[in-house]
Formats: sequence, C-alpha cells, structure tokens
Amino acid sequence: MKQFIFQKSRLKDLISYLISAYPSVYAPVPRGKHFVFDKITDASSAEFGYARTILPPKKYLMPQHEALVDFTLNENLEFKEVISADRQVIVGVRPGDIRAIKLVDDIMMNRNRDRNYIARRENTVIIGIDGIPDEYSYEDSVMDLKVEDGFDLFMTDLGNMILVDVATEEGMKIINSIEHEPATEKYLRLRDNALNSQREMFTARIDTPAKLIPLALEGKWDHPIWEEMGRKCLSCGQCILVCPTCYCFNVTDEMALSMDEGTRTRHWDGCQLADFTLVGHGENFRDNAAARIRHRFHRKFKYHLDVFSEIFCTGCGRCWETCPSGINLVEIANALSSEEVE
Amino acid sequence: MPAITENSYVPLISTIKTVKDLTPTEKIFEVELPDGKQLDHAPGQFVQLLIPGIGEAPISICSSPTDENFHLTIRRVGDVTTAIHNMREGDKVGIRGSFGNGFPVEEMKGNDVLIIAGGIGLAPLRSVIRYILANRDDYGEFTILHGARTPSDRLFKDELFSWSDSSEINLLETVDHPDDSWSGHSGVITTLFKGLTVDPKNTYALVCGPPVMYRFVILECLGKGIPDKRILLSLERHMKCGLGKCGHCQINGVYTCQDGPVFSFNQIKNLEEAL
Ligand SMILES: Cc1cc2nc3c(=O)[nH]c(=O)nc-3n(C[C@H](O)[C@H](O)[C@H](O)COP(=O)(O)OP(=O)(O)OC[C@H]3O[C@@H](n4cnc5c(N)ncnc54)[C@H](O)[C@@H]3O)c2cc1C
Ligand code: SF4
Ligand code: SF4
Ligand code: FES
Repeated sequence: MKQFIFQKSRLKDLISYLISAYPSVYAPVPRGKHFVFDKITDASSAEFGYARTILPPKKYLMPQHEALVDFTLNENLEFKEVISADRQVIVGVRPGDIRAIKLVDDIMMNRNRDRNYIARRENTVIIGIDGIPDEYSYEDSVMDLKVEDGFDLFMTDLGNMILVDVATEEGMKIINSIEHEPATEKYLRLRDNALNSQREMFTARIDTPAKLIPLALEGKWDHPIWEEMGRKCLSCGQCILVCPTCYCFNVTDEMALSMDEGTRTRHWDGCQLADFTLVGHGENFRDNAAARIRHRFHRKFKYHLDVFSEIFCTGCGRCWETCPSGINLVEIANALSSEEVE
Repeated sequence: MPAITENSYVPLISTIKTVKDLTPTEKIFEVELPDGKQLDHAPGQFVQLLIPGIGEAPISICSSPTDENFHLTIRRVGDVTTAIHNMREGDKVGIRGSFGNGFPVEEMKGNDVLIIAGGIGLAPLRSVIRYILANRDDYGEFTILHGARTPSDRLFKDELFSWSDSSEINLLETVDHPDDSWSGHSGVITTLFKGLTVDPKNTYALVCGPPVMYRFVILECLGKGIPDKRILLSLERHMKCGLGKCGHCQINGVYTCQDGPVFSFNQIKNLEEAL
C-alpha cells in the first residue's frame, strides 16, 4: 500500500474527475437532519462531515429490490438471468461500512457464489474516509478503526491536508488526476494521532472484548434481558433494514400487466419481522419479539463468529439511532456480561 | 450439493409427466428435467419448485434416485401449491436443486432401519423406502411405522398395500380417527412402539412428520435404546433460497437448507429452536 498527501482543497477536483470518468458516483449528501448516500453530478453536493448515513452503501451492491431472473410465459416458458452492473464509485465510505462490505463479500462471493452481487461488486470502486463518532457509534468496541483493505482509496482528514492510502491500481489512477505527493513520516504520525483522538471520542462502549461475547452468552438463553427488550420491540424491522451486515432476503414474482412476462425479484427481509419463520401449517419458530431480538443478537455476536471468526456488527449505531424504542446491542451486551448470573 | 444451473437462481424448465390424486388435498407429480438431465439426488433432499408468476416452494423429492424422473407429493395449502394442483400433464414448471443433505443411506448400510412417518412426512421418507427396496440386500430389518389422521388421509395407498404384503418390510399402521372402512390399529403413532422389538445396537430411526410428533417419537426411540446420533429427523422451515443466504431457515446458527433438512437428534438436542 502506498501513502500520499494532497491539499484538502483538491478533494473537489478529485470528485469532479470521478464524475467525469464513471457512469455513477455516490456520496454522502445531507437530507433533512440526516445524511444519505445518493448519486451526485456536482462535486459540491458531497459532504463528509457526517456520523452515519441512514442506509449503508450496501444498497449499491445488493439493492433493496433487485431483479434476479426474467421469465416469459407465452408458448414457451423461458428464464433469463438479469445481471445489470455499471461501473460505479462510492466515495466517503466509513471504516465500519468498508468492513461490513468485506463481510457481505465473503458470504456472497466465496460460497454459493451470487452472480448478481459479484457483478456489482467487481464494478465498484470504494473510496473510504475516516469516521466521526457520535453518541450512537461504538466501532471502537468491535473493530480496528484502522482498516487495511476492502477499498481502492482511503482518506484520513488531517486538517488542511488529506492523507490517502492507495490500495489498488485503479485507486492510483484516480489519485493521479490531482496534484499529490508522497506522505512523509510526519503525516503518518499525524494520522496515528488523529486515530487516537478519535478513539477518545466514543461514549458508547461494550465492556467485554467483543470476541468474548460468545462466552458471556453461555447459559444466558433465558436471561431476562431478552424479555425486557422483547416487550419494547415493535417488530417494525427498521433495525435490520438499516444494518450494513444484514443480508437476508425474500424473493417474489412480479408479473407485467400483459401477464405474459415477469421478473423474480429479491427484496431485503429480516429476522425481526414477525412472519420471517412462519411455515405452512401455521407454525412460527420465532413467534415473539424476545426470541427474535435474541436471534439478531446471536447472529451479530455468536453464530457468524463461530463460523466466520468475525463479529457481524461494525458498531455503526444505525439500528440504535433508528429504533423507535431505543433498543441497542451495546446495552444488551453489557447486561449479559455485567453479572455472573444464576 | 451444487445447483444444476450456472446461476443458482435460474431454474431448469421441467415438464409434468403425470399427475395423480392421492387424497382430496394431496397429489403426486412425476417431473422430467430438460435434455435428459438427472437430479442425482440423495433420498431426503428437496427441490425448489417454481410456478412462474406465483412463486417458489421447497418440496421434498419423494422418489428414489433409482427411479426414472422424479416425484413430488404436494399438499395444497397456499399460492404455489394450489397453482400446481391446477396444472396438468405437459405443463411446465421451474426446478432448482437438489438441495440439502438427505439421509445417510451409505452409512446406514448393514443396519436395521426403522421409519417413523406421520402424515405428509411419509413423502420425503418414501424416497428412502424406495431406495432401500431397490437395494434391499444392503440393509437389515426394515420396519415402517405410519400414522395418518384418518384412513382417507393415507398417502400412497397402493404402495402401502403392497408394502404391507411384502416380506421385505414390516409395516405397522395407525390412524387417529378410524371410520367404518378401517379395521386396523387406531391411536397416535407412538402407540405403535408398544411391543415393537428393535436391536438398538444397529438400528437407524428416520423420523418425519408434523412438529408436534417429534418430541414424543424421540422419547420412544430413546426408550428403545437407540442412540441419539442414529435418530435422524427431517425438519421443515421457511425457505427462500436453498443456498444458505436468505436466512429464513436458520435454526440458531444452522442453515436447515444446507446443513439439513436431516439432522441427528445428537446434532440438534442443544439447538434451542430446533424442536
Ligand atoms: C425442506 C422442505 C420440504 C418440504 N416438502 C414438502 C413436500 O414434500 N410436500 C408438501 O406438500 N410440502 C412440503 N413442504 C412444505 C411446503 O414448502 C409449503 O407448504 C409451501 O412452501 C407453501 O407454499 P404456498 O405458496 O402454497 O403457500 P403460501 O401461499 O406461501 O403460504 C401458505 C403458508 O405457507 C408458508 N410458507 C410460505 N413459503 C414457505 C416456504 N418457503 N417454506 C415453508 N413454508 C412456507 C407461509 O408462511 C404460509 O403460512 C416442505 C417444506 C420444506 C422446508
Ligand atoms: S427497530 Fe427496534 S422496535 Fe423495530 S424491530 Fe428493531 S428492535 Fe424492534
Ligand atoms: S447491528 Fe446495528 S450497530 Fe451493528 S452493524 Fe448492524 S446496524 Fe450497525
Ligand atoms: S433457505 Fe435461504 S438460507 Fe436456507
């Protein structure tokens, strides 16, 4: 990996270059009190002073609604796979979201390979930027804030200058579009300082080392915290919709008005919705909110950890900020590990 | 099991060869894959059946890999299952699969086999029954316990008749609610265990039926001394992909569509949400 620095005032030029060179450039833009990733056509609409976007950039790799297979019904039944992936750049991706993309990549690209996801992913350039924690952020408790891969470029804001890590050839080509120079030791030290002062900014913390949460979960299947949270949960599904590491889905058939053709479409779906596990004879294997929250927590901090050796939560705080009842995994994790129970 | 098309979501266009009524709500379909393709499934696996424009449903393959084409027994419960009930010979459907692990028929060789089937649970088990009959010399004592709600709910009546007549199988049947046509045993399926002798040292018990049945049947099997790793249960879950991704079929950390649907009691007794 190579490091360079450039004047912050050049960032606009870099984004203008992206807009001229790629069919689609997505960046954080303000929307009311919040930020969202959106397509930009003007470098000045991108703003990087944000804590989190409402939806993670996952929506450009696995859209909320995505055609998988087209079919025709007249005379002969025919199926055709739908792969649509243009070159795209996502700029301003936080370390946690970069890590989340890596986790979902592993699921979609390395086992039962998902051709739609792979096509989108292979056509995507990722330009990261260091984070700005707020009261809902807890990345520091679950991951290393310094991400080493999963991006083409990664920028660290050092005031007047930006330090940039270049991880790919394409990243190098992009950085060559603006004036830059090699980063000296001084700037690397400044970056370390910046990271250290960022670590101090987190107010939300999980008390146990996150990879030890599976141990804290032992014997806690019937812990009162599940019931307590279950009583508050409205099963609205907001938390799974906004999560960068959630990838569960439903597939439905949509017919054209002509009724002789249609599309099989994948939609985001998730385990906090009441009918997620309902089967034919009315049996529902997680039929109450407490069981569903317990499942979500285990999926983030145990089940996937057991198989993939990775925590499937990046601490982005989206589920917390969005939950109408303020339910958050930090509180649950701390309740589980605070007492030596029963 | 690898999917049989390059894109795991694109089904193979398959043809319904025959349709037969089994009961007022269940039909059996013989399905042929295109271009002479074979499913090469293991008994106990399932396919995703697609009726384009309606949707997909996971359905067990109820024939043996030793049969020509493959069979699906389908109960009419909702959109997809009603749509296929309205289809006829020659109609086209989409098939993805086969999926799941199936029963360990190789490992079971040389052992006695005890099948316990409740209701439509007989459909997935029919694949093993036909497989064992096609390879009868490889297996020891072969017993089937079958329970249905009423005599008219019994699936595969012709086959049940020939199995009851066969010296190769010991078939014991019961119905919950007998009527005038029924002179056999009545009562829930666990009553068939009474007086049954099994050799616990070399018996595999294969169980499929409605969820309420499992606990009681497992207790009976354990009571006969069958060890929990040789009590094999086929579980039903909501399924959308068959690929270990959509999440619907997850039992704790386990994906039923890939790691199951067949589990030993040993595997699931500590999975809180399994039974
Ligand atoms: C591994 C496996 C093997 C099965 N084998 C057979 C079989 O051999 N024969 C048979 O008749 N049935 C079988 N089933 C059950 C069958 O899949 C469901 O009855 C079917 O999906 C219902 O679809 P539908 O569109 O007709 O009903 P819907 O109109 O979708 O809804 C009816 C009910 O079915 C539930 N349901 C919907 N989709 C699914 C799904 N994918 N999985 C489970 N439940 C669902 C809904 O929650 C609803 O309660 C099997 C299920 C599994 C998981
Ligand atoms: S956002 Fe909150 S209330 Fe809604 S399903 Fe998630 S935990 Fe429950
Ligand atoms: S579980 Fe919540 S905090 Fe963790 S990655 Fe998902 S949305 Fe972010
Ligand atoms: S059916 Fe989708 S994960 Fe098992």
